[in-house]
Amino acid sequence: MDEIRRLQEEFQRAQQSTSVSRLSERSVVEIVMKLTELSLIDVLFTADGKEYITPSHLQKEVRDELYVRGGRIALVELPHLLNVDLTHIEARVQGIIAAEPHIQLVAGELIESRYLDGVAQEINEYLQAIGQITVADMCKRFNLPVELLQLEIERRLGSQIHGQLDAQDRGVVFTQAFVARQTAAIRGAFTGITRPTPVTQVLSAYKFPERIFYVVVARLVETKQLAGSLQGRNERAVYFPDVFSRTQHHFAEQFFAQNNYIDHDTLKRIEISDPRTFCATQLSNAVPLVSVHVNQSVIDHVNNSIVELVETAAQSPKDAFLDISPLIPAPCSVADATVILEKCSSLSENSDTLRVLADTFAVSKHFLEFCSGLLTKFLDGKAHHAPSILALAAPSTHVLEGAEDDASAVPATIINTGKKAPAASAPSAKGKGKRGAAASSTAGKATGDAAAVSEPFDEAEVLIQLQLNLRHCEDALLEQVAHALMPSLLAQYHEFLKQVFIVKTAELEAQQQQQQQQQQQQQQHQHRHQQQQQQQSSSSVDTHTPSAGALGDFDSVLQFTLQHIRLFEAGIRYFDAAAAGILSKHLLKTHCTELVNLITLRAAGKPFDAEAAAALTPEARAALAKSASPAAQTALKRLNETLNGSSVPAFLENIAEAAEACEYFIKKQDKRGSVRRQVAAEYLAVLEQRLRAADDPALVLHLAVVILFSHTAQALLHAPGRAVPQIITWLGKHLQGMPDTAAASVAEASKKGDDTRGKKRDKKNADREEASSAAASGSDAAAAPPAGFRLSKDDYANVLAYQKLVIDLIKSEGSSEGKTSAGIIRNDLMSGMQAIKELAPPSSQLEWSD
Amino acid sequence: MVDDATKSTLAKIPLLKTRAGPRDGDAWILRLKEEYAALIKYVQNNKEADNDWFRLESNKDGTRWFGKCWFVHDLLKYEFDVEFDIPVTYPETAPELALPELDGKTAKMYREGKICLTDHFKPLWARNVPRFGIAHALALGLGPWLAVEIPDLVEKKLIVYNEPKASSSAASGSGQ
Repeated sequence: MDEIRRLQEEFQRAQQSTSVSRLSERSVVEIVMKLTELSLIDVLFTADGKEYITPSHLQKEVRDELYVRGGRIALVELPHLLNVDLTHIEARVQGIIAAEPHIQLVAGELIESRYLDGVAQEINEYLQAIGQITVADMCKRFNLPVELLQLEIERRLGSQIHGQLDAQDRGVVFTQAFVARQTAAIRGAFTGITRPTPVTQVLSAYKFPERIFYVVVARLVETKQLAGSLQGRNERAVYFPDVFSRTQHHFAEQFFAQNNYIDHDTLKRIEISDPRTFCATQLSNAVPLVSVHVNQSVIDHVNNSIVELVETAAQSPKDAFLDISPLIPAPCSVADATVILEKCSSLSENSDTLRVLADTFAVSKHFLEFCSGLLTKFLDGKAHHAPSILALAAPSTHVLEGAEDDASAVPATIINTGKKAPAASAPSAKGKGKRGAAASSTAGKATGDAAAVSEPFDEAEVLIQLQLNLRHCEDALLEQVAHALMPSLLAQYHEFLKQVFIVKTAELEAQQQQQQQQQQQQQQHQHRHQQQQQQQSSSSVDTHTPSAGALGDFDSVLQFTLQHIRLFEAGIRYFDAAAAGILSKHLLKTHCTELVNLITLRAAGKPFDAEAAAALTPEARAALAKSASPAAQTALKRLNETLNGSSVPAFLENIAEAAEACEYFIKKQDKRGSVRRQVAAEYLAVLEQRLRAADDPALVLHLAVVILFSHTAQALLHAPGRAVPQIITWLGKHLQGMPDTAAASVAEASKKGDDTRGKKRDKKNADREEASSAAASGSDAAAAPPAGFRLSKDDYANVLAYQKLVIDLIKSEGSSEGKTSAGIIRNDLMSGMQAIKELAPPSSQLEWSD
Repeated sequence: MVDDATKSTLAKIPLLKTRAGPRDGDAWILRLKEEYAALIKYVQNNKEADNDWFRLESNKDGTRWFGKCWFVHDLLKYEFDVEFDIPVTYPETAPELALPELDGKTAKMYREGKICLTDHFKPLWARNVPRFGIAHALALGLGPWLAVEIPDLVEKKLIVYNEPKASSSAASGSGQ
């Protein structure tokens, strides 16, 4: 029973015990919903909906997770880990960030400052290891945003990170050791540079960190740790080592010192970019030109040379020019030379006497005058052969000869030109009639017009003449000289034309007069008279040639005549006393008298007038002399006395003495004889021209003999007609192939020839044309045989041929009767000359041995 | 015949072995011990399943049993007195459970408030003599009867909810 009782109690106990309360899942969900609805509790569902979590617990879980992950976790990982929706997590994270300042949300990641400390430590280790880091690299490495890392690094610089930020680029951190290392390397690299180098080249060659490179280089240069300089900035900077600059300067200075110039090309070659500035600052005494700098001394030298030129110009006009091109450094261009000349003070000071030609030549006006003088002969020849002269001479001859019906040709010309004839400045040589004056004025006018229409000669011709005569001058200079002289030459030429026409007219007139006199006078006398007249007219031509036309200069006429007299005097010496007497007297009567006349006129204060001087009689002269000064009077008196004597040397002596009293200047005989040679050549050319133009057998013989003498004896001769036999005799002695008998017969023949001359007049006109057509070949031939006592074999043959020709001429002259005209003889002569021309090289020039 | 829930509940109640009635002397004692052990187990099971629904006690020799039973419907706890006697022919004859308060209120009841069990009960009981005891009779008879009849009676307004008296042993399970 006890057992029953115990069981009963146990049963009661079992019934009394509280039952376990159980809620179904559904009920609980409902209860929770209800509670949430009533805002009694705040819970979050888990992602699978089976669990509830309170926000604070979620926050705690997030914190725990962050801790486990070492202070950094991505938000997107949390939903998976915590089984909570991302939105709840994000909401909780905001709470965390707000509550705890050492946690931040960066780009979807929660980052604790603990983590950043670790990062900073790592960065520092890395930085110490390699010396330089970039924030960008670190960002990549830690996968953190630049801004954050930049901020964190900057905050920890000096404490956790031992380095410094780049001043320019804040994204770079480097250590002082690194900078020192790089600086040393850069210094080393640059120290080795010896020539200008772009810094970028160094940079790429040694792979320096670009960021500090430019700063370091600039600082090193600034602090003189690098001996050099920088030009340009950063990438474009070029490093110029001092050693290079020094070498450069040294080279330039040495070059300049040695050569007195330095051209800009050379400077550019040694890499001086601005040569002008360089020269101006670095070289003393450097004068800038177009493409070079020259030393002042060069210009001084040129200047001095020009001064010298000015001083000596008057003494030697032939060399009165200065080519500065040898005086200036070779690299100087023409433009440079011009600049140099501009800088020469002497040039501007003497601008009235000096001209610059062909850029590098300083030319004295004396030289130009000299050249102009050289061309006189050329102009004369041109004037003689001017077609207009011939055209006009023909009708005028007709007029003179009395063919009245042809006279209409002249007025026609005047009408055609349609201008009033210029003042007939050409004074007639000897008593010409009204018709002559008319003809002359017509001729002057016509030639002037003809020249105006087409130039009678051009610069090229002038240049050739100058080149022939002035071998020592450069072509460029002569070209310019020719160009400069052209205007004055043309004027001179026109003057010559005028003169030539006058002479021609005078000749014709004189011949006419002679014809009239022929019936009244003795043949011998007439012959002599004509010769004399020819000579006078020739001398008249001579005296007018150089300057009478252009300047009417007393001095030049005086010098010119005197020069001739001296040459003739030399020729006289070849003869024995008798012949010399004749020749001397002739010379005194002609040229010397004329000269004295000139001097007298001048002493008497009369204006210069060549014609008047030629026409002065001894009585008139004596009368004029009285109006001169006493000193001049005695000098003139003595001169007159010598004129009556027969000694040309005495005359020359006297005239030299009289010079002072009569106030004129006599040039000394030039030592080199160049002037003399020239005068002689000119004179011979005139003679040969006359020979070609001559018709009269006696005249032909006379001229031929004189020319032959000149060539044989190398001396000029001024001989009267009556001296011809003596000359022939002399020639006979000195020439081969001329037997004495022939010489004798020649002498005879010449007399006979004179007899027959009158009959040949008719043929003259026809022959003249022929002569002019052959003139060209003849002139060459005349200059061809360089005769002389020193002859080459070929030359000798030429001379012989020439001699033979003359002998033939003489012979034919001797045997000429009736129809054997001078024209035929002359034709023979021409053909003979042609033969000589072929034998001799045309370029050979006359050589006069004094 | 019997629903699954009831079946599983029934299965958890230990079976009896002794075939003895109240007149069998010591055998009955043995039988009564077994009855109690089964009841304790059943109550424990009910408590664990949060399905505690009765209070029961017996007289000294265990022939008369009385107590209370209750049913929760619409969150209201309806409580009734329950009593029954062990028949002399027990265990062959099942005890007649009676709810005297509800006498005359329902058709499924005999006189004196004895509940009218289903047709299945008697054969089932007969097949399981002497294995079934009082615990089985409660689980298999009164429990299902209450679950069917009380909601019906409440609906018919034959029983009304009485506010629990202060003295009542209301150990309400859903009062949290």
